Amino acid sequence: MYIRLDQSSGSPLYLQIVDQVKSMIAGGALRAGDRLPTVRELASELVVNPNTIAHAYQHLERERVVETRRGLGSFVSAAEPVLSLGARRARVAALLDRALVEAHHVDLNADEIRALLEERMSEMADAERSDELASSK
Amino acid sequence: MHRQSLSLSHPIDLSKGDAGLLSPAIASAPDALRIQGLAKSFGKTSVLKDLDLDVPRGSVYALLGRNGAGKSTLIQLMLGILQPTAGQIRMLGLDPARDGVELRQRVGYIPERLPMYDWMTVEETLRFVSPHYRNWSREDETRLVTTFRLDRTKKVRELSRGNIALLALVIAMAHDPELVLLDECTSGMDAIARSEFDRTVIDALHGSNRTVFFASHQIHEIERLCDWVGILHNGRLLLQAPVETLKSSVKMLRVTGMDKDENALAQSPNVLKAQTSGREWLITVQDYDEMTPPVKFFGGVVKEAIDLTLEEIFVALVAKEEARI
Amino acid sequence: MKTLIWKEWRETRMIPAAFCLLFLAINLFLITIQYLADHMHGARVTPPGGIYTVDSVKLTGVACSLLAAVVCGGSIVSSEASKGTMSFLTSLPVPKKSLWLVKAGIGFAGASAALLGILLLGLALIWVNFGWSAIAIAHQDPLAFLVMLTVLMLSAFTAVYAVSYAVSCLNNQTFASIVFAILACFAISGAGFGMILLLDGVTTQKLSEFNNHLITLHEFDYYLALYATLHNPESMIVATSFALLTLTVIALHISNVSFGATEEPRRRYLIPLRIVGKWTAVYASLGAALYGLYMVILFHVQPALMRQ
Repeated sequence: MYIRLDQSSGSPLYLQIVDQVKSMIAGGALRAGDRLPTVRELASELVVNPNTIAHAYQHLERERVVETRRGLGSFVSAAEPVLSLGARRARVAALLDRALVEAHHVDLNADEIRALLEERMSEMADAERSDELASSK
Repeated sequence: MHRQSLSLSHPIDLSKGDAGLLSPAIASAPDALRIQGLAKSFGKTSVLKDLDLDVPRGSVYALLGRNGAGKSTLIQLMLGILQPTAGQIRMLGLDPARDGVELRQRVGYIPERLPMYDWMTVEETLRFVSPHYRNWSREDETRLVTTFRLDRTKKVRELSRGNIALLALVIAMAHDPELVLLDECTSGMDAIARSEFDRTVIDALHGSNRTVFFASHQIHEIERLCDWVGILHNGRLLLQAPVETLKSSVKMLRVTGMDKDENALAQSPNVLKAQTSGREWLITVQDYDEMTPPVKFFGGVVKEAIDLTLEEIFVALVAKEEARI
Repeated sequence: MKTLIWKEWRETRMIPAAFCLLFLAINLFLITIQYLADHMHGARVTPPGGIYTVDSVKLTGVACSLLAAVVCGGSIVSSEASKGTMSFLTSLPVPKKSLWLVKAGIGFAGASAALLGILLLGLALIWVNFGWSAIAIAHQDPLAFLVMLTVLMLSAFTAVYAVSYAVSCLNNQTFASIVFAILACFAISGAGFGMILLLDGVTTQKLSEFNNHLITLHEFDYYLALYATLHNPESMIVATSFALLTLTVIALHISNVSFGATEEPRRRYLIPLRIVGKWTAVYASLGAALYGLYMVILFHVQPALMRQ
């Protein structure tokens, strides 16, 4: 599993792993039921402390993104959100705020921001659809 | 005694599977290394003063410090090569001064200067060393030599520095040590050899309750590998904490609209560094609480809390300490 | 342990070979000069009797053997330090005593091999050039004298080795160690000779005082034993061998204490002073006590027994 860690950003390595696994799932590189490498395998591949990998997996498990089956390994779970709508909204709101601050700094007005948002959403949907078509062939 | 310790807003309890994520069984095991009140002087020069250090079993502990902070002296004391002027060291429960031979059976040590007999071949070196260790495993030795692609018939003087370090790693690991002591050994290695070296150390951690102790300058490389860090400065331990705790407590705040009271800033013990960036201030603090992040700071508004790399944290902490003295 | 012995021997074995070759080379050189001198027309180069004689073989043999002892002893520990491999040895799970013992033993084995080699080569050279009859010993009991000379020679050889080994433990550089070892051997020999001369002077003075009736027989008796020892070759050899063996033990003690003592290089030189001081105090008091006891037995107990 190819995960690229950016040490210079300062952001905790386990969060980077969590984020990248999530984006792999969102992007279709990982599907429900796919097996993740073991803590040992991934630690060896990335040359990272196994505790960091374990922390990342625990985090993913807590969020029900990944589930562990005894003796078999860790698998991507079928998307079943466990967090309440409020918690989910709060998560995304924090990220949106950062984007909005940046947009404000580069002088995009409200309409431009909304248009950009629509653009990005339809692009992601398109990418997902073409992936599904490709894999069904 | 004057020690500036990291003020944690929420204390870390190792017995819970929270910070450090050691399983309860491992977390309650006695420390791999316990140092209390250690002091060492050479004549009138005092190199280590009143040092307290604890390395939990099964952890990867990084000792950071500037050149001359006392890292090599500490390692020599840990191995029983030097005798302490005062204080106590217990490594794997043993006193290095008294039980040095037994300790060296259980510890894998790789020194900075990698001394080896250059007239010996790789095979001869391994055959020279192996009979002394009761837990030497031929299978592990063969596996490591193959992984590192070392030519057994080559003389040590014909090997590159990286390969000599790998040979040293084979010797250190093949006797199944409980504790691995690495003293600046990857400096001067090329990227590939270094990655092989680190990977072997990582692999060796699996399920064996093995402890690794690094003394290094290469903070960038160490950051991926260690889960505990200790900072040595001027012969004293500035702080020791799990890496994640450190990274979540030391952050850089981006603040706007602050009163420009430089003196107050400098005096505040929790402000490590303060610099302007245009109209904003970037303040490095050491008491950041992720549960209740600060909104206001010295009259200004906190726009963002930026994560710092271990190297940046180290530099900021040492700079603050040096400014204080 | 076995591998330590293997490693030390691999590193040392060149030295005896080198010294045997050196001995051979020197003698061949002398033979060549002799030959050229004898067969050249005109001026004579070699002194009367020749430059290459039985005595010259013996002299060069002794010199080469002693030098081999110095080099073997003087280099075996300091070469580890100079190459930086000492920390490799001390990091092994082996007690320092074992390391010290193996080094002392193998170094001595190397020196002995050199001695043996030189002895055999020397005998061969003498037999080839001069015949067996040249090895004549002027003494009423040649065999006993030969044995005593051998004991003396071996004691000197061992003492030189031990002193060099001690110097090697105190010093970090091979070349410096060898030089210091040679200087130390000369200094100790000089001190020894000096002391013998002093004692001889004192006893001779006392003898002349006695002959001039300045002191009584009773007073002179105290110096008689010493005088007798000094003027008797056999007892001198015994006494000297004993002194040399004592020196060997002291040197080994010094080397044991300072082995691997990398901690305070400057303070290291206090170690031999301390130990020598201790031994001198012990020996001087012991020697004085024994001598006194001997006097008491000789002059009071024995006559008392005889009177019975």
